[in-house]
Amino acid sequence: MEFRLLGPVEAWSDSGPVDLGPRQQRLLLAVLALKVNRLVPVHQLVDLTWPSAPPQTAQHAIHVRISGLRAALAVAGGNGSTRSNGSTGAAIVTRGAAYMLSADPMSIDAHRFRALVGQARSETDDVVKVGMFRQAIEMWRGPALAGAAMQAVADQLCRGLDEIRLMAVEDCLDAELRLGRHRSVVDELTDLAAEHPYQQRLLGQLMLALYRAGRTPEALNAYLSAQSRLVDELGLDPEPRLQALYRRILRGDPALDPGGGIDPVPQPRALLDAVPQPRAVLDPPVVEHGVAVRVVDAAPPAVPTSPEVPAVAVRAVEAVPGQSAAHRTRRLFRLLGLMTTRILAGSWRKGVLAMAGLTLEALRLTKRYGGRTAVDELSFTAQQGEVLGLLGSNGAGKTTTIRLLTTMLRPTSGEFSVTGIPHTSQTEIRRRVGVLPESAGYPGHQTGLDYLAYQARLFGMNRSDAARAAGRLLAEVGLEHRATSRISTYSRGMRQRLGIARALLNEPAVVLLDEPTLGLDPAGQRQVISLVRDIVGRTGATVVLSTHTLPEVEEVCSRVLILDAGRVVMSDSVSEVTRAVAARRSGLLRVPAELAGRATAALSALPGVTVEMVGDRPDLLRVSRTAPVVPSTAGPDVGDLVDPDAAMNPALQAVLNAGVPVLSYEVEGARLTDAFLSMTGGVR
Amino acid sequence: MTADVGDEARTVHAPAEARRGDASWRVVAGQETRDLWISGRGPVLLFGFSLLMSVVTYLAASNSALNFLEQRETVNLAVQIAVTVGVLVTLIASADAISGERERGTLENLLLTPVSRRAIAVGKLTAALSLWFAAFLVSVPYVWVLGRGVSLVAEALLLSLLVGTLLAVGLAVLGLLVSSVSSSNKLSLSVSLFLLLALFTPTQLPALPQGWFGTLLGRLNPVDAGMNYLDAVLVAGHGWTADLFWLVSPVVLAVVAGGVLIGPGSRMVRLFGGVRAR
Repeated sequence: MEFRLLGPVEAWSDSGPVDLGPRQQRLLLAVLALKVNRLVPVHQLVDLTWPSAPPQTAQHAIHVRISGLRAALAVAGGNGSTRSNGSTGAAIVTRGAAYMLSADPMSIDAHRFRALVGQARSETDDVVKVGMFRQAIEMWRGPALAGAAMQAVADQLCRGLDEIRLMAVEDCLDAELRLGRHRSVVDELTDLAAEHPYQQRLLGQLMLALYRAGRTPEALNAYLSAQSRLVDELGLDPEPRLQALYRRILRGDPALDPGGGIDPVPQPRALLDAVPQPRAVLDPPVVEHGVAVRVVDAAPPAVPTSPEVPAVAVRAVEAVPGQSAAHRTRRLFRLLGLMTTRILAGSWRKGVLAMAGLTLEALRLTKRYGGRTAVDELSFTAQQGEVLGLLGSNGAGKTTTIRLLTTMLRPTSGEFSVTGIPHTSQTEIRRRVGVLPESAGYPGHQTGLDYLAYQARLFGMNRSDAARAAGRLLAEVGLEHRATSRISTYSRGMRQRLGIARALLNEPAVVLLDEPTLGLDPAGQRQVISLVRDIVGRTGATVVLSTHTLPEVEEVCSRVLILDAGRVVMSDSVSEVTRAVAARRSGLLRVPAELAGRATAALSALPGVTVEMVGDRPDLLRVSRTAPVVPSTAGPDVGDLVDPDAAMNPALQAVLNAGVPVLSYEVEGARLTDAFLSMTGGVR
Repeated sequence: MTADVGDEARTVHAPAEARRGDASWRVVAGQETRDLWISGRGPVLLFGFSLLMSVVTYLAASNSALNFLEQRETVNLAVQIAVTVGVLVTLIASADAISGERERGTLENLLLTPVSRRAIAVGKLTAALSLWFAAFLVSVPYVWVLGRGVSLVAEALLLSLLVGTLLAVGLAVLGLLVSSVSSSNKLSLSVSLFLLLALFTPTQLPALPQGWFGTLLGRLNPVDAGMNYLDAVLVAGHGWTADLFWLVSPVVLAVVAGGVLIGPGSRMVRLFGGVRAR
């Protein structure tokens, strides 16, 4: 039995396609297949099937559909008995109020795709790597869950897969460029850059491919068009690494040229070295965002009364070297016109933020207590529907950051805005944020219902609306059965859920949760994390989640911000953060014990590599990188196009070259926990 | 530009904000009053107050002869004790209002709402003052028992209400301000009680001839001045308007303290205590 989710939802048996029934039935199978061998609660299936208003008979309908699926699978030969006999069949099993598809994950194309991409990324031979990537990408027959799920639901379920697909395409194109196939990928890159206009990595690849294909003007034009679009539509400048690539193309930097035989390429780190900061470190990328335009201090003489307008305009013009004066003047006036219109409308900033989907923006936010700096020049943005993890060791500044964003504390310097409302409008900010404070207390003598109703009234609701909202939210957090109990009788988990309900009272655009799982047992933690996911799915709010529970951050957060001593040390998607750390990670290498000495000698000869024996195991070596390990035959690079997962490959190659077989190699430091510890100076 | 947007937001929401501001202090006051009286602190304090009044009334009634002047003095004694102790319980409630919530962790959720700091302060003050008015009501039968036969009951009760309310408002506001800046609830209660005792102590000094400085201090001290006014009207039998100068400092205290609370003092209602906390 084979299940296909990367396109229209289908199931195939040996005898051909299986009739999966109507759309909702196919969606149920897709959900179960995506979470194969894991229990999916019925209420979750209901929410996904009817996202807005489930009918009263929803649960019954789910049972009926599952029954239909079971029948379809049984007809196709995928029942439980065959599976237990060792075949590749599949079965839907029931555990309490949850269902689970019991099947081999490799019988599902989505999981096969993930595995293949993972293998491709660890492959060192670029030819093989490209083949594997292409094979993985070709599994996609259209948008995931096409025809089975509504777009919003498909996005919710498959956003990760889409991200992996895009990353696979980018990695594949990297490898193609390293192989000197720039001419053959120009068309593909052009289409992709048009499809993903804000994907700057693709743009960099396109620029490099065009440049190497001898189409320098088009490469420069690609940059200028993208820059213009970013400035006009988002108010952003291209990333520094892209700007650096543009300057190198302008200079005709030989490091970019093909050479060395068939297609020589620049050294992998060459471009990275040209960029002042790694992509993920926020100093000063978000200075380019929104209000940051005000930091530009070079105002031209022809500046009108508002200093912000010329700042934007001049910055934009300055960022377009090589253009004619007439072109620059036209752009200046166009931008001035655009900004003036928005100023006249009184909401240009909100407009820019709204266009960018930004709900939260902090710029050089600083909080000092006397001589101690709790938060130091913190800059970041968060988009609508995003779950931003705020990580850091104790005292890193997480709670201070949240208190600044909730107007509980006044920033020493810097600023922030929520949905475009500046931090100086404190009441308006409080109207737009929902907060679960770190150590929130509750009046024990009040009931949960009374407490929420009182809080709702403080947000301006009348008595009856407040009571209704309180009842609804208590039901949403699963406390309806304790609504009239005194809060003093609530467990800690229940209080946290009550606090989350309170944070949602005002239908906030931004929800700030400070250590919501602190002190909860694993079941309580799961409940809270599920609630966070529900909040995003249901309300589309931006969630800022401060927590120490890193595995759950990996699960629920789309992006993380790691703080250390009040400063942002890393900000990127979870996968990028772990990848970045993986680039300087260590691994456990197992070799035959009698050859361990030879392996140690081979590794020690490599610059930037240290090796040590692990405990009393003569066959186990810990190999650590202390500096980049660059193979002499490295391929091309655009910014961070070097695959950090392959960073240890030269070391492994050295061991093999020494005639020592590698029995196993286990990467260390590839999880967010390791990234966190690494960034905050914990260990490693 | 930031200022522009902020101004715009303030302009757009100003009328609604004003309406909400009007209503929100009542919401806060209502909840705070319920908390005070339902959670047990209010009834316990009032029960203690009524016990004290019972003892004082019994002793005063059993020790006074049917002398006209002495009866006026016993009424005065009961009124002064009712005012002093009524103000004391009010002060206890207000001194706990902010620092107590801060310690219990409930203040942050209150401050996270769009309700203005001023509305929170006024709401808490109103709740604290409910204790004074309840104490006054409890004192009514005791004053009535002691003042029977001398046509003094109504006058004594009105005076008690006037002077007590002025002192209760002034000292409750001081208690709130102390509570706002105190780093702990214990500190807030200690400072507030010391303040009341410091103001009350001069009333217990023997009535000796005083120099101009002593007289000035007596008039500046609102508690001392208030008690002197009660003496003048209830014991000496002066008219209400004859010794109004004694009421100057209680009135000034109530007005100035109230103004400070509604004005700059409301900004002291914040998450952390301490004078320099922000």
